[in-house]
Amino acid sequence: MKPQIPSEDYELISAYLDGELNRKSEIELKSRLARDVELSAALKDIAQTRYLIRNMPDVKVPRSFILTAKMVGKTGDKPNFFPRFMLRTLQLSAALSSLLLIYFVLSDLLHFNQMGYQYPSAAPQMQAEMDIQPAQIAQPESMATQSRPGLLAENAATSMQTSIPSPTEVTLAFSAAESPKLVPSEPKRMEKNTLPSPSPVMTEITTEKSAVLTPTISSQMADESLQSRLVTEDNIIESKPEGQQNIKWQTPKIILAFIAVLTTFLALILGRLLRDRNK
Amino acid sequence: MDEPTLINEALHGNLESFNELVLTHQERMYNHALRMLDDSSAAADATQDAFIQAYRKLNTFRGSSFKAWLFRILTNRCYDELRKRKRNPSVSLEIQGDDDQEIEDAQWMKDPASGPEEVFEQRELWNAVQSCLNKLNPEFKAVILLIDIQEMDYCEAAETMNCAVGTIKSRLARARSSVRTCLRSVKELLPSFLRLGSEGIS
Repeated sequence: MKPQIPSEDYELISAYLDGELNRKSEIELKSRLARDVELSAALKDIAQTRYLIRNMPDVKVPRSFILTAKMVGKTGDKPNFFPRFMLRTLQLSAALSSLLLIYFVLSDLLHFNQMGYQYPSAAPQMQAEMDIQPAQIAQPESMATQSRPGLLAENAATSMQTSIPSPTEVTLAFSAAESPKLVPSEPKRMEKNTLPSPSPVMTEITTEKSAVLTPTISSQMADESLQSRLVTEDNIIESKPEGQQNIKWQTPKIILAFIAVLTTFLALILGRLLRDRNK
Repeated sequence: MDEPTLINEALHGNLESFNELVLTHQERMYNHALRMLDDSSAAADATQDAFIQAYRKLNTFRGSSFKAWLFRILTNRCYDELRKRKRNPSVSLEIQGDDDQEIEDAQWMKDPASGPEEVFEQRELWNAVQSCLNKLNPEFKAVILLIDIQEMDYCEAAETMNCAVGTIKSRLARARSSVRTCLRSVKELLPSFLRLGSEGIS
């Protein structure tokens, strides 16, 4: 029985036959082959095996393997990367617009909560106004009891200056009376206070009207008290410009929601089409 | 057109360009699948599947050798087929008397210059070699086919098999040694100048 060749030597012989040995290993192996008969015989065996395998005849293909559009699920020669790029873009824009929309909705909710805190502040304002009204209404009544026009005029002027508080004062008084939890809405309150107050105008009106001194002063006083009340109401409902701003903000939000829904919908359709195509 | 241009055009969805590549490689691919699976219809299916998969995954091609990349896909497809066979062993209905199969199998062994007796001997020899190859582990078989039949160098085979060059070298030596040992049993079939010795591998 002939001695077995180590597997390392087989690797060397095999690589030598394929020309994959480096120069140094090749020289070493050649010198060993010259001395070692067994190794030389093994080389011959491996070479013959290699020759046999290499000379196995090729088989002609039974059919052509050319691909058709149907095989690859292709409808045309459209680039592969374009739908994928579109899908990624749509997914990204859908995600971004959805995030922005969520942000706006949440900020709206927070804003709504803040407004919820502000509503009670209007109540004392209204209450204070209601407290003012009896005094104003009482004035014409007390004046009606006096028959002399001169006295009526003097009293009317005096009572207008003393008893009718200006709307600005009322508003400032309310601001001071507000609870500490309304601090976050302070800028808005400041806006209210900085709005042009109708009080000077009212004072001018009262002065002019007191100079006229007509017998219908009681009705004029009633009108003025009504006007002052209306002005006070204007101050209360002065969030009207802010409301208009809110309405202005609604348009981008609607557009954003539309984009979010549209891009999500398109991304879903395109993703599905690509999946079907790759099946 | 050269191969990189065809690949680039195929990458942009040009099926005709990819089919040029198919025509270039289909014979080698089919023969590799046939040696791996030893079944012509299974080899044809594997080759077709490999080309379809290659087209669909062409954007993942980053290797230096397109041939190696194609053969990797095909070899993996053949591994799948062999695993499937191992799980569900089946007996082939293709017997020697089957006319169609006989004609198809005999085509590759047919030598117009040889007489009937020589044709028969050659056929027996190649059947014996294929039988010895079939006894190898699929990984060893793939290496010997890639290097000895597809004539790849070690680096290209390593890229195809996704392993180190040293692994290729080792697997190839063992595979050749196993085939040589196997062929000893059929040495009467071999031509006189190819009668093998009797050394073994430790």
